[in-house]
Amino acid sequence: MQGSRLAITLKSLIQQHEEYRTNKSVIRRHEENLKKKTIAHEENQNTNMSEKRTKTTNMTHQQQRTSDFMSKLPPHLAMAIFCKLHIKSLIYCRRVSKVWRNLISDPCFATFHLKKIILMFQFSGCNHRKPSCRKLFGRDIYMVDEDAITKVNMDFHIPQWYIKIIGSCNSLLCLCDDGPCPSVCFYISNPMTGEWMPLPKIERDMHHISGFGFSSNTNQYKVIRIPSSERKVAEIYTVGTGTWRSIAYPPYLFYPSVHGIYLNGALHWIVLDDNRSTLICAFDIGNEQFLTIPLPHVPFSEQGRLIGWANLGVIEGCLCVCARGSTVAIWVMREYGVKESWTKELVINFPVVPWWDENERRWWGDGWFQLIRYSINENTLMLSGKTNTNMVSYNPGTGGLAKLNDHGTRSKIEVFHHIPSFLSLEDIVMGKN
Amino acid sequence: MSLSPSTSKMLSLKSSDGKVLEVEEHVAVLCETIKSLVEDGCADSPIPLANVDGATLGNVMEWCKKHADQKASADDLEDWDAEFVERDQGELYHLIMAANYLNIKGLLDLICQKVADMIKGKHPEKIREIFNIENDFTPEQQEQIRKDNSWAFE
Repeated sequence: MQGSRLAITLKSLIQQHEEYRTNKSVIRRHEENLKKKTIAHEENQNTNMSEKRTKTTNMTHQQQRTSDFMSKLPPHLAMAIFCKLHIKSLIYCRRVSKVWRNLISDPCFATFHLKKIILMFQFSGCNHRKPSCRKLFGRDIYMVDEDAITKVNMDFHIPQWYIKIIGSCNSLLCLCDDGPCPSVCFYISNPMTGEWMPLPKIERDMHHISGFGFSSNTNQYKVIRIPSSERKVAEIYTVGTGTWRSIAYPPYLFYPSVHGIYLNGALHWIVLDDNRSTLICAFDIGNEQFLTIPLPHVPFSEQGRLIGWANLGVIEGCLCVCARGSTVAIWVMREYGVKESWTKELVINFPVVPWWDENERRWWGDGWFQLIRYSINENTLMLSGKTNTNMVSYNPGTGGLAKLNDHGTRSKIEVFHHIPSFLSLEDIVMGKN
Repeated sequence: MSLSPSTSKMLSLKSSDGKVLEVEEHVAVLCETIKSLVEDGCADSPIPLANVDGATLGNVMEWCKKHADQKASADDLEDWDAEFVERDQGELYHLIMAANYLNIKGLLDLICQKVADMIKGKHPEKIREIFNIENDFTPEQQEQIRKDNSWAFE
């Protein structure tokens, strides 16, 4: 029951992603383009065919092998084949020939075929001032596409152990140079094409929180940086403008180093207000206003104060809270902004967080657990989560718990949902597609 | 209209090279294109299929016949399909085009998956070799691609 409902809601999640990635007029334009391309291709094929027929009337299938299989196919069929491949294979396919590269970089492919969400994760807890720590953990970024985990090597001019992911939005990553320089640089990148661009440098603030998102109303990407509270202003950068602007500091207390969760054109954080009550603060990327969203009553009920801990995530296209009291509960806000729609999705009676590792004879984690995603695996519901030392998956059907990462590190893991696309960075940023 | 096997009405399909194939209606209607002709009552005379040659039409109908068989188990079909797609690229190409033209989603998916499996996990050089593709990038472009992919994925 739960599985099939999730299958439906997963579908709606993908649809929602599509809706904010494109609007209907863009879709229509792409459809027309694709049709034109297919018609042009058919005409081309027909002329080729009649030419061939005049040369040889009895051409066998074997003889036709001399021309490239994929470039003979109408574009929509070649794309139907490409979309069955993992991201890593697509990266190789882009290097095969110009025809293949153009097919994979085509907006039609990104819009209609490559409809998947992958995970990007990074070990971020390393102290880069310790050389031994750099060597051991770095700030390696990994990509998880279905079951395949691939390491992503970035070609920045600064050491990778200074690079930190701030957020992922519409197939772009926002990264931040966390190095020792007095100024700090943010980058926007499409990790699938390897392209990146730096944003203007701003003054370093060790305790800032940041976020990256897109507004479909204004068609703009923005990065926000909220420094430690004594600075009294927050800074915002609209991609393409060339300068950072200051905006009024939001009247909340933020938890340090927690990046904004992007959904519905807004970034979200769990914050405290003046009365030390816990609530969700939403920053609208379009109009640059801070709003509040109520949390579910339980387990925040004792005079509005947080009991245990809680963090935010997105599942099935809805904002969710993963909260720990005596148990771990996943709450989902079915209707965005509507307090009554908070639904307790799942309760996990963890006997195992912190988790005793029999082989290593030590305890893992300190009970910090964050929901990463739901996925359906062989008709059972899988729940992945993270503690601050490892990533675990939990199967509510069997109650089974498994450690996912075996990368020999106990540093903190940051995980981001990412929609891969092979569009050029410029086209995405300029809103061409 | 009932399309159950018991009616077992025969349809004539005419390929691009003039070959006529007699096929049971409940088999032929796995092709959405033919199904809509049958439903509109336009399937009396031999149905001309201008984009499918005789050999390919035979292969397509062989697949349809197996998949119309209600007795075949899922495991059985999977094994049968795996054997069915063991063909050279020319035949696979014609099957994809025919499955697209005749609108047979299951067959189209099967062949696309087969071609994807031929690509999966292979390096660009190997892919060029398999599909007999010429590397048409200039040395400068090649260098740029190499640089792009220094993000590369291990």
